[in-house]
Amino acid sequence: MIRFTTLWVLWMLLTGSLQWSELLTGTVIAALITGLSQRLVDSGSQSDLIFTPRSLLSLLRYLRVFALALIQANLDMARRVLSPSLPIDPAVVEVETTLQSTLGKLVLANSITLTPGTLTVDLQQNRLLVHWIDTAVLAGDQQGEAALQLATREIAAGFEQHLKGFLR
Amino acid sequence: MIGLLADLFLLLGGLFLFLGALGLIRMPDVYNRIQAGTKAVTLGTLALLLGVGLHQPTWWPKLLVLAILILVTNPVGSSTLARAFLRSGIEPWKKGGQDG
Amino acid sequence: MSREQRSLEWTPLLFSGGLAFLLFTLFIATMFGEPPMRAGAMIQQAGGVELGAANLVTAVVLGYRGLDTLGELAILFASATAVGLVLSTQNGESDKQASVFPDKIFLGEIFESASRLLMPLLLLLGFYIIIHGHLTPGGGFQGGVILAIALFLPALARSGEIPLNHATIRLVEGGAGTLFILIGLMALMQGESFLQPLLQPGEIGALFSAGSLPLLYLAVGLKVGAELAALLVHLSGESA
Repeated sequence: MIRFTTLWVLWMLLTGSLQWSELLTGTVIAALITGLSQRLVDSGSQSDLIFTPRSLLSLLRYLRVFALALIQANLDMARRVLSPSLPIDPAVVEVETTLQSTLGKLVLANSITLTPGTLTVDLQQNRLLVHWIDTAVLAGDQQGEAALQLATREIAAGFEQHLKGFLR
Repeated sequence: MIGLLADLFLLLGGLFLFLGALGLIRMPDVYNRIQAGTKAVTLGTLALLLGVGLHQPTWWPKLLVLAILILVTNPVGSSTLARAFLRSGIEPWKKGGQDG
Repeated sequence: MSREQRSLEWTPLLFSGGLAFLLFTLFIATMFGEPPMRAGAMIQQAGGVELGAANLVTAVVLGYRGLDTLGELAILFASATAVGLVLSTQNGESDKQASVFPDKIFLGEIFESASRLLMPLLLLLGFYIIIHGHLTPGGGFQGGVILAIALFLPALARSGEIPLNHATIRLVEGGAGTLFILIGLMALMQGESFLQPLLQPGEIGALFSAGSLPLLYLAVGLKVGAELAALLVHLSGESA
C-alpha cells in the first residue's frame, strides 16, 4: 500500500497535470507495478518506515542536517582541491551502525558518501567500510576498538540519531 | 529578480561541476577522485535543477523526481565502484607512503 | 613484419580520406538549411492536424512509417533470437564458459538494496516514457530499454536472481508483437491500408489523443523491453 501510494505520487509528479486521463492511467500503472514488484522482489521495506507524528519531525530534522552537510562537503572539497598543498590524509576506517533495516542502512550509507570527506565503500551487516579523506582526527595511534568508536562518533552518529526517528 | 537568482544558481552549479572535474585531476588515487566527483556532481546538479526550476516554475514536479533519483543513484554508483576497486586489490593512497 | 605494419598504418588514413571526401561532396551537393526533400516540411504541416500527436517524431515513426517500425521490430527480434541461439549452443558445449560474468558475483549490500528500491521506480519511469511517447520526446523504444534495465537490476546485484521467468518474458514479447499487427490489421478491416492510424486524433497534448498511436507504442515498448530483458538474462549466462 505504501509502495502503491509512492508510485502514484511519483506518476503525478512526472506528468504534472491533474487531467482525469492521467489520474486513471497512473492508478492502473501504479497498481500493476505494485503487484509485479511485490511478486518479483521480496522485501521487508513495508516495515522499514516508522509512522508517527514524531517521525515526521525527525525526517525534517534529518533533511536539514543532510542539506547542511552536503553544502559543507562541497566547500570542504573545494578547499582541498584548490589549495596548492592538497591537504589530505586518507585511510579506510570501519564504522558501526545500529540501524537494522536495509533501507535505513542504504540511506545512512548514501548520507555518509555525500558528506564531508567520507565515502562508503562497503556494507556488511552492521559494519560500514568508509574511505575517510582526512584521518588527522584519529591522531594516528588509535587502533581497533577505539578507532571504531571514534570513527562511528565522527562520521555516522550525526545522521543516525535523526534517521532512527523514522527508520528501523 | 527571480531570473537573476536562477542564473546565480545555474552559475553555482557549473562552478561545483568544474571543481569536481578539477578534483579528478588533482587527487592522487581513485578513491579520492570518487570522493571529489560524487559530492561536486551531486550538489552541482541539484543547484542546476534549482536554477532551472526557478526559471520554469511549471517544471518543478519533474525536477523534484530528477533530484530524488540523483540523490539515490549517485552515491550508490560511487560506493559500488569504490567497492569493486577495493575488491580488485587497489590499495588506497597513503600520506607520505609513496611519492606522487 | 615491418611491411605489414606499414600497410596497417595506411588503412586509417585511407578511411579518413574517404570519409572526408564523402562528407565534402555531400556538403557541396546540399546547401545548409535547404533540405533536398519536401516530405519533411509537408509532415511538419500536416502531422499535428492529421494525427493529433504533439511529438512529430512519433507521428512519423508510427503514423507515416508504421511499416518500417514493424520491420525494425522484426530485425530486433531476429538479432535477439540469434544471440540467444549462439549463447545457448555455447552453453551446451562448454558448460559455463559462455557466461559473461563470473559464477558468483555480488555487487554489495548497498547496490542490492538500492536495486530493490529502484526497480519499481524504473518500471514506472519506463511506462511513463512509453505512454507519453506521443506527447513528449521518447517512446516505445526508449521506454522499453528502461523496462529491460529495471528487470535486469536484481539479476545484476546478485547473479542468479532473475525476477521474471523465461516463459513470462516470451509471452509478453509475443503478445505485444501480436497486438501491434492486430492494430494494423484492424485498419485493413475498416477499408484503410495496413497500419493506418485509427480512432479520432483528439485534442493535441491530452493523454488520450493521437488515435491508436499510443496503443502501438505500448506494444512496441513491451516488445522491446521483453526482448532486451531476455537478451540480458541470456548474456548473464542463466538458462532460466
